Order: sequence, then structure tokens, then C-alpha cells
Amino acid sequence: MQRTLKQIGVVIAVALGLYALDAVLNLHRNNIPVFNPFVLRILLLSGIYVTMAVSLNIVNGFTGQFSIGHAGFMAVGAYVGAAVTHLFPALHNGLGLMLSCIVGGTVAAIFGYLVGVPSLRLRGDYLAIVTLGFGEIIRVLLENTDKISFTQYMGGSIGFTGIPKLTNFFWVFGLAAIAIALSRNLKRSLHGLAFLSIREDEIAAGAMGVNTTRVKVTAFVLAAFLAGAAGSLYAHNEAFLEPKSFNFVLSINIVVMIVLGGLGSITGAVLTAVFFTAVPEYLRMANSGPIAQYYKDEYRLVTFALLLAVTMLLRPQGIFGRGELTLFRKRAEDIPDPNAADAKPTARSSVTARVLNCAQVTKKFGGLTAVDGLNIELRPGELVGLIGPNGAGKTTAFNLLTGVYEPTTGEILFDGAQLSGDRPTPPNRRIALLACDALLAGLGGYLIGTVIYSMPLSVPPSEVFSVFGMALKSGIVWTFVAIAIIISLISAPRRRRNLPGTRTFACSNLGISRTFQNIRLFPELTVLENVLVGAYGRRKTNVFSAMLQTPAMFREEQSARARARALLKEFSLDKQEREEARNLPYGDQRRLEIARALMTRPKLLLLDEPAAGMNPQEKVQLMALIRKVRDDFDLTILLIEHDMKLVMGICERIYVLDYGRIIAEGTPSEIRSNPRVIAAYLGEEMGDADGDGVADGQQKVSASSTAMNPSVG
Amino acid sequence: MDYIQQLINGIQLGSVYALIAVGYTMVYGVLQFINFAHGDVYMVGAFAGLFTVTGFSATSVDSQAATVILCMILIVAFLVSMRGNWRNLKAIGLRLVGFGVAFALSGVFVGLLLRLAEKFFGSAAALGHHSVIVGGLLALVVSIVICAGIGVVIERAAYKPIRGTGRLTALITAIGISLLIENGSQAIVGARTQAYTIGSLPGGESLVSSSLILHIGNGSLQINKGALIVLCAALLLVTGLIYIVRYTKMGKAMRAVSFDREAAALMGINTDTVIAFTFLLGSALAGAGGFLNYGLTQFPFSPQTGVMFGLKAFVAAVLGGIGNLGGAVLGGIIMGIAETFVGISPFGTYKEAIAFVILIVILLFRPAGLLGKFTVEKV
Repeated sequence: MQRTLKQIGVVIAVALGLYALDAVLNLHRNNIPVFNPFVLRILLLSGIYVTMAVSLNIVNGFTGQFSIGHAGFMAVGAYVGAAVTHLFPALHNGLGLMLSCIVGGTVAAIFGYLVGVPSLRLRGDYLAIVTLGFGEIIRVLLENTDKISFTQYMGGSIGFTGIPKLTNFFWVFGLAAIAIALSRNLKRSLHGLAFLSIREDEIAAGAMGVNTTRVKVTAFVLAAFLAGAAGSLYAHNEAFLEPKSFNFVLSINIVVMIVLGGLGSITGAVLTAVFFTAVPEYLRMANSGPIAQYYKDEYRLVTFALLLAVTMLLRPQGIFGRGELTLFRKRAEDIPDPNAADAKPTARSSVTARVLNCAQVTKKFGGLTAVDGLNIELRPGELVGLIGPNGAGKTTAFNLLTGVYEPTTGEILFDGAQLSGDRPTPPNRRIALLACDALLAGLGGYLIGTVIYSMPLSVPPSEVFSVFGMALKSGIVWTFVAIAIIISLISAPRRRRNLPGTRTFACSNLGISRTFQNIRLFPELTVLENVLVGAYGRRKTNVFSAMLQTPAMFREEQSARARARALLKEFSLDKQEREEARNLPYGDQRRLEIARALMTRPKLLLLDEPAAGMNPQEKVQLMALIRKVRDDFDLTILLIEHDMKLVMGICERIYVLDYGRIIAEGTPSEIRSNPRVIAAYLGEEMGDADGDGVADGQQKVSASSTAMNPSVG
Repeated sequence: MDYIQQLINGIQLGSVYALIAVGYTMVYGVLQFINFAHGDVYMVGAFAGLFTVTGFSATSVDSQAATVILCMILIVAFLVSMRGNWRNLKAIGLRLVGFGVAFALSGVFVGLLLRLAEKFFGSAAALGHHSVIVGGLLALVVSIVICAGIGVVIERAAYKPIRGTGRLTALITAIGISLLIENGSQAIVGARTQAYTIGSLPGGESLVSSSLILHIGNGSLQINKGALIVLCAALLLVTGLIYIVRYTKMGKAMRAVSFDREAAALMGINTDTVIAFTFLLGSALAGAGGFLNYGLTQFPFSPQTGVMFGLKAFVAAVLGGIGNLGGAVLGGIIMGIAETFVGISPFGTYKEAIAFVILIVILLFRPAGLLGKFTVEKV
């Protein structure tokens, strides 16, 4: 309660302060030259670009994606916002400006969603290209607005004139303050950690229950909204818009700001935004000053380019890196929470006979069958080993269980839920999907058909959309529509026979957690933050409460922190909680990965070679730790390990995998004497020689139980 | 018949896209990053062709701006060469002296180089006036040589030092280099839109306006000779490239590096040389494309042209499947045809957007491109 009051107090104080400043700075409008209009213009533009940079920083800095078409969203917001005030003259006041910001921002956010959904599924540089392309599409569309009757007032490439000059200091810096506050709150919250975890390691983030696509789209939509709102302010500041001012160079300018400031640093984004808005404006004066004959505007852009290259060569993390400058160094995390001690999970509610049931699971990569007819059953509370020679398909099996891969055939049941396998889509949904496909295909066919039909016609550009109506009467178009619908219907059985397999983050949220063969921590997050990411999948508050720091969110975060600290203590990592994960020694990193996996409150824990790279003493400690974790957290554990001493020492049951098939299953002593296992590990001849009796085999293995280590591990 | 005419125009434009797209796709295959400066190299090729064909008569060069930009680059090179090592005063002094000399000489050199270039291009242009074929071939060779050189210099100076520091760093550097070339050349040759042609054919008719007329049945088909030459030359060059990549030892090394750079290095391949060679090949083709697309067709161009054309070529590479040479050619030709046909429809004013619409559609339905294979990241 007190916190909420304090927050409201801060907001009111900032608003009043801005309003007072605005009252002072606005005096020049009444022809009283108290304030230099040139400086005021620079000030307002700086504020607008601060919002732009801070919003782009959410996408490029926090989630580590790379968007270079931010000017496109600004353009959408600017044109839509200006249209609002153009169409409703009654709104020529502060309220109208706010409304136009909200409408412009919302439309930009819708565009952000439409661009983000297809492109953010993909990794790598595709997003950069798509956003760039989006910026260009927007520009081309805006250049053609004068040819469509109901957007004619936007003026096409000539420009949108007569926009009321409403923007003032209050709204510009109010929006900038909102953008800064939101992204600062976000950066500190659990949601912000999910954003950062995607930047660090997308696969590990998925395995910790972060719905990576959704988080990225959220970041993108949020950034687009803020850019749209800033665009609307820009429109009402300049009173004139033209499509070519929202070009690639503007997008690049904003990217330059956040890259030089330090990707991920809000302070850096703010300071460089002010610097890179003010300096060019002052440099522009050089065009008319004494050095005008030696100065060219291109030099400024060449300097920008060189600055970018030099920064990348000498200080790739930017001026501020990922750090922030803060005046009040109070850390919310240090406030102890009295009623947050539930480090142990609550008892499992549904105790089924089988936690996990894999039935005939097969995975093929092209011609290679990595896993072939895998059958694994795990009972609650069991500690089971999965062993096999290198390349036997053990890690692929783990990837199938956690939704990284989808099985080619076979089904996986976990705790009563079907993760993958034969899950036909319900008929009503299938019909709806089919209808949707046919409709989309028909529209596509209509579009292509219209373009082809209209080619021989000579239609003036202003009438271009009338051809869609004319095309309705032509056979060509309907042929195209029919062909498209037929193709979509014929190919329908090849799509969506099944529901897609459960994705990684959903598997984690159901209660399957894992560690990785080659450690996948979030290297530049601290130890505590690494573990905290595990709490994201079990959160109850949404991203808005994180941005507004609501009390519910605050409480949830406190208890998550307490639980994370308790876990770290159990793994004796609590001394290093402020350390970046990449700086930990190898054994600690392995243990941290297990702690992080436990933070998701799993029912089934998959450990992929937890002892790899540990010395014998650490292995002994690890064995004790795994047993303790199983008992304390009431877990089922499946582990892959090459170290036979460890596997034989702690596992109650062992599966042996070879060439993707289970060749043996049983207690450690059974496995030790199984001739097929010995054959798989030590070569065919041994297995053949073993044909006469069990005693022979036992004798061999007891002799080779130590010899197995060097040959396999 | 009109459609066939347009189809050929589309294929001609597409063949130029293909020339640029193979450069993107090769660099992406070897280094997994988008060489944003590639489109600007193409633009430099167009200007190299312009100067070879017309000498300095058509376009004036601002030697003062050239000096300023060269000096800026030298200062940056000095800062970078120090690499934060500001304690060692002797090293600083030596470097300062060295760069100071370079600084002083650069002014003289730019003047001298320009004078030499003027002489060379002037005589080349005079030579070209006597014979279109000699002039055209000369311009093609000059464009190729200049652009190949620029490509290798960019790789060595900007991309090599940051190799292995992450994709984002590489991408931002590439954007920086692109801005540098674009604005640097705009400062030197001006933002004005240019157009030129390699003069007239032996019969006295202009290459741009003369057409090959084929009579088929009742109708006749007009094919622009310039477009035809561009198409043939581009296809020849791409075939040559594919031959190099498929059948020579260097090509084999390139493919090895693209599969696994470390393993290739362990097998005794000098990966630095291979990467430089990749840039050399890609930039050479971009330069050739720059001359062919403007010198034979009289399309207008300016220093700003390269970025957008390059991006469309990149989309063509993605369309065909990035990393796949055949895919780049296919993607380029599809792109050229699509753009030409949208251009002649009443939706012609939306022509510039079609490439990016294609990109979004392809990413939605087939992210790996038409001929590419989708690979799942290994866990």
C-alpha cells in the first residue's frame, strides 16, 4: 500500500514538474522571446528521439533481436495520429494530442504484431531484413496515399500539410518519462529477466518455461506502440509530414544511438539520443556559417558511419555496456521478505502410476534414425539412468521428451498429459481451419488474378482500386480464385493431421525440466538471475503489472527471490549470487544448471551428463546431491551419464540405448551382467565369446567395470 | 507479345539481381552474416563504369571532399590501431608521426590519383568511343577490378578484426561500412541522379534504343539489344562463378569453410585467404552487375541506389534459399519478373514494395527459401 502511494506520488510530482517547466518554456508562443525557439525545437526533438531509442532498446537491447525498421512504426504513428486531429477539428487541444498518441500507438502496435509474428519465429538476422522491408513498404504505401480517395488529405509523396502544432514540452517529456519508467521497471522484473534470457540463450530460455516467441512479440509490440506514440508527437511538432523523412537513414540513426549508448542500457539510450539529436542540428548551422564552403552535410553521416565501425572495433558493448547510471542505489531485492520461505515444493497432487510413458517413439533425421521405437516408463520418485555408447541417441531422446524435437512416430505421455504423438485435431476445429485456409487462398488468388487482369488495362493511378470491383466480372480472376481454393483443399490433408507437439516452454510448464550436455547457462546474467528465470513459467502476474510494479507483482517477485536464494544455499552457491554465470568454475556451473532447473518446480528432472568434466571427488559430492535433490523435492530423475561408477551407484533402474534402440533394461546388477550391453560397449567379439554362460559375463564386467570409464567417458 | 517482351525485361533485371544475390549468399554461407555493404559495392561498380565510359566529362569529382573523407578514415585507423594502448608514449609518437605523414601525403595523393584517374579514364573513354565492344569490355573489367579490390579491403579492414565477436557486432559494422561508402561517395560525386550509355553501335544506332525484331506468325517480338547483352553477360558470369565454386580447388576450400570453418582450418586450409577470396568473387560480380545494369540500359542511378537494390538482391537470395548459389539465381530471376510485372500493372507505384512483400510471404511459408534446407539448431 505504502509502495503504491509512493509510486502515485512520484508520478504526480513528475507531471507537475513537467507542467511547470512547460509553462515556463511555452512563453515564446505569446511572442515573448523568453526562450530560444531553436533550442526549444532541439529540446522537443530530443525528447521524441529519447522515446524512440528507449523503445527500440526493449527489442534490440533486452531481447537481443535486431530491428532496423523502427522509423516505419514512427511513420505509422505519425500519419495515424495526424489523421485523427485532421479529421476531428474539435480535438485541437492537449486531450486530442493524447488521444492521437494513443490511437497512433495502437495502430503501430497492431502493425508491430503483424510484422513480429511471422519474423520472430525465426532466429538470426531475418528480423533485421523483415523490419527494414516493413519500413520500406510503409514508405511506399504512404507515398501512394494521394491516389486513394479517403486518404487523399495525406498528400502522398508531396506531404501531409496543415497538421495542428499541438506538441509541447509536457507531452514530449511525459511520454519519454513513461517510456523510461516502463522499461526500467521491466528490466528489473521477472518478465524483464525472461526478455534478457532470450538474448543470452534462446534454447535454454525455452527449456526454463519462457515462451520465447510470445515474449519477443510482446517486446516488439510494446516498442512499436511507444514508437507510434512518439511519431504522433513528432507529427504535431513539425506540422508537416512527408514519407521520405521516415526512411532507412532515420531507422539507422536510432540504431546508432542505442548501439553507441550500449545495447540494453536505458541510460545510454537516453544520453546518446539527446546527443545525436542536438549535435546534427547545431552542425546544420555550419551550412550557413563561415566554414560553409568547406562543409558538407555528408561529413556528418560519414562520421556516424565511422563512429559505428570504431565502436564495434574498440568497445563493442557501447559506452555504458549494459549498466545503468542511477541516483538512488537501493536494490529492491535486498528487502527481506518475512513470509517467503516455501523453498520446498508442495506435494504432488496427481500421483499416477507412471510419470512418463514413451511408447514406440521414433525420430528420423532424413535417412538417419536417431531414436528407434523407444519405450521408457518412469514411476514416481524413481532415479533412472539412460546409458549407451556415444551417438546412441541419448540426447535426442532428451530432446524429444522436452519438446525440442517432435517425434516422427510414437507418443509420449507425461503425468496424464499427451505431449506428442497421434493427437488428431477435433473435427470442428479442422473444418474451421480448412474454411480459413480456403478463404485466405481465395483472397490470394483474387489478388493475383486482379493484378494480372488489370495489366493490359490503362487505369489511372487514382482509380487503381476500382479494378478490384471490375475484376469481379472477369473470368480470369475467378479462374485464379478457383485454382487457389482447389490447391488449398487438395493440400489440406498434408497439413495439420495432428496437433503440433508440445513446445519446449510448455513441457517445462507441465513439469519437465532439464540440464544440457554442454552447459547452457545465461552467461551474462548473475547466478541469482539465472535461477530466477526458472520462476518465470510459474508466474501469475502479467507483463503490465511488471511495468507498473504492482503490489501483487512485487510480492510474487519477493517470494521467487527467496526461493531462489534458498535453492542456491542448498547448492552452496549463495556466496556467488552476484557473480556472472560465465565466471563460475565448471563444477559450479553444472550445479547452477541443476538449481535453475529445480526452480521451475519440476516433477521430472532430466540430467544430461551432469558429471562431465568433474573430478572424482566432485563426482562423489554430485552423487549425494542428486540423491538429496530427489528426496527433498519429491522428483523423478532420468539421467544420462557415461561415468559407470556414478550410474551404477545411484540409479535404481537403467536403460541401455544403442543405435537408437533400447537393448537392455534393469537394475544395475542386471545391466552389468547383460551380454548385449557388454557387446555394445566393448565390441561384438566379446558378446559372442559370452555365449556360454552368465558367470563368464559377470567375470568379464567386474574386471572391466573400471575399464569402461576410459573407453567411454 | 507485349508480355513476352516484359518477361524478357524481367529476366534481364532478375539476372542482375542474381549477380548481386550470389555475393550475399556466398558471404552468408561462409561467415553467416549479411554483408550490408554489398549493395554499395554494386553502386561503386556503376560509377566505375560511368567514369570509364565518359571520362570525367559528365560528372565532376569533389577532390576536397575526397581528401576530407580520406583524412577522417586515417584518423579512425590511427585510433583503432592504438587499441586503447595509451601508456606507451613511444608507440604513440611513432604512430602519430606515421599517420601525420600519411595525413599530409593524402591530400597530395588524392590530387595525384585523381589526375591519373582522369587521364586513364579520359583515354579509356576516348578508346571506347572508337569501338563499343572495346569500350564496354574495358568498362566491365575496370568495374570488376575496382569492386573486387574494395571488397577485399572492406573484409580485411573492417570484418576481419571483429570476426568471432558475435553476429550483432558484424551486422552493425556492416551497416557502418555501408553508410560510409554511400555517404562518402555522395560527398565526392554529389547526390545527383546520373545516367549514361556506352555510346552507339557500328551502324550508328544507339544500343539502348535498338531492338532485335523477331517475327513470329502474325505478331513480332521486339527485344532490346542492351537488355539482351546484360542478360547474356550476367548468365555467363554466374556460370563462371558456379564453375569456380564447384570445380576448382579454391571452390572446394570455400565449400569446406562454409561447412565448418574450424575443421577446414585444421585440414590445412588458410581460412583467411578463402574468406578474402569469397569477398573478392562476390564484389567482382557486384561490380560487373553495377556496370551492366546501368551502362547498357541507361537506367538512372545515384549513390543512394545501391542500398535498396542490394536489399532487394538479398531478398532474392533469401527467396532462393540463403547459402545456395542456384537458389540465388532462381530467386533473382523470380524477383526481377515479379517486379517488372507489377511495374506494368496499374499497381506500378507499389513496385518498390513487392520485394519485401515476397520476403514476408516466403518467411511465413518456407523460411528456408525455395531451394534451401531448414536446419534445427543442435542442442
